Amino acid sequence: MNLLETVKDRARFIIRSAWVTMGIPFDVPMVNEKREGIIDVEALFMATFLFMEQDRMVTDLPAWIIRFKDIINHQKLKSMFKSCSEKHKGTILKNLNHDPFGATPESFKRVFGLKNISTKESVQTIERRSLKLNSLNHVAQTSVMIRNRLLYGTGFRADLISITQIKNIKMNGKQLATLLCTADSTISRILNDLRSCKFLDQDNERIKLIDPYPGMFLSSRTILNLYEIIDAEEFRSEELKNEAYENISFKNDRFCMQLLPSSTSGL
Amino acid sequence: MPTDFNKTQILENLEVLSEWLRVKYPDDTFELLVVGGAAMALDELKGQTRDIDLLLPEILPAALKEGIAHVSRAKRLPPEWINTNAANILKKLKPTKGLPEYFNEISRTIGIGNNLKITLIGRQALIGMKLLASTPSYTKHTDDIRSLNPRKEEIEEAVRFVLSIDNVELRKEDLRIVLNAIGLDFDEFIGNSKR
Repeated sequence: MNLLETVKDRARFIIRSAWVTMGIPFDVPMVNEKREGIIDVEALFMATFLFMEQDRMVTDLPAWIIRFKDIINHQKLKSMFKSCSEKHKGTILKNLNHDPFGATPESFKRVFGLKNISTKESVQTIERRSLKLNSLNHVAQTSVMIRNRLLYGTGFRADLISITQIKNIKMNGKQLATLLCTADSTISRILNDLRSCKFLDQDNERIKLIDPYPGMFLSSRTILNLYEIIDAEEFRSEELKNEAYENISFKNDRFCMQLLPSSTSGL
Repeated sequence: MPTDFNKTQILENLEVLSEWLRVKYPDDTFELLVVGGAAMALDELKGQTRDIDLLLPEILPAALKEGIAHVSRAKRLPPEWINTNAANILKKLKPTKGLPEYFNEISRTIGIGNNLKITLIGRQALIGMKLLASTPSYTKHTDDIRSLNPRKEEIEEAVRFVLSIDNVELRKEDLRIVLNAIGLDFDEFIGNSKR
């Protein structure tokens, strides 16, 4: 097995752990957000689609998407998908070309331009798998982003509030907009609101932050890092490979920190 | 950081660029029209050059721009190791009648990988561009013209080209000094170039 396959295998394991946090009963330990950081739901989708194989994920994920469709930020997912290179878009679309994804809601299929219609057999499998998913009540306890979406509505306001639960976030509006894959103006407007009601201070830090989170476990940064890792491992030139790994930033990305042993990345 | 590249190093750097483009943009192909010292070095008409000047594309597409920057960092090359400065100068000074036909002529093409085609500009355009770039105070281009060992008719056409886009007295004075430095008499050409 070459290094890329090892990395992909390890990534699949961590992705399954993150989905356990979201309520899918894979046989791996869950990511504890309090200890390891917040999982961005749409970034988790993107990471999953990048590495997805023909396994239980192919039926369990459509079941999750159908059950939790109202707490998916489709706009963010679309921005993430649109911003990825044609090459990785191709990989994602190829990996999504499984029958069960035809059963997902139109709002989800529209993001990726999926046209497939699921067979009756797939629908029945998804329905069976759906029974195994954790309840929304439970998921709201393990995923802060989902909890805040239930509280404030599915949108960037809820996600921004989730991010502000990180201790010493030290990010300006532009950086937060990049992290959440939205327009600067959207974040600027929400930040103004949150400062006006004394929810945030002038540095965008929470005024009364109880029980903070240590950082982001999986974010849009993770996706950029994953593209970089996949490409780096395709380079034959050691110079290009090293340069690619130098571009990886672990800020807001504990996923890749776990994925890459320091000896591999030379970081 | 190396400042001058010979033919082998130019080709090695272009191979790395081709690899970067292959991995990042696997479905795309790219073509560069090279002019100046790099064209000469690749044709073994001079030993080394500082950068790779392009006439085409006039504006680098994002993929190439990114690739050039990444290869620059990976191989510790100057950021503008491939640039469109020559294309920009030509765009600014382009004669109203357009460029002479021979700017469409090429010397040869070099395939790098399956995705990068390097085209070297034809000899007459190369001489013309060299004469356009030459100044009395900076002898590099004058030396290059000397290395190209142009025939009288080629210089005559190059003078015509330069004067078609810049015929102020100052330029004529510069041309006189440059041509003198390569053992030619400007006045002999000025008459002919007006024809």
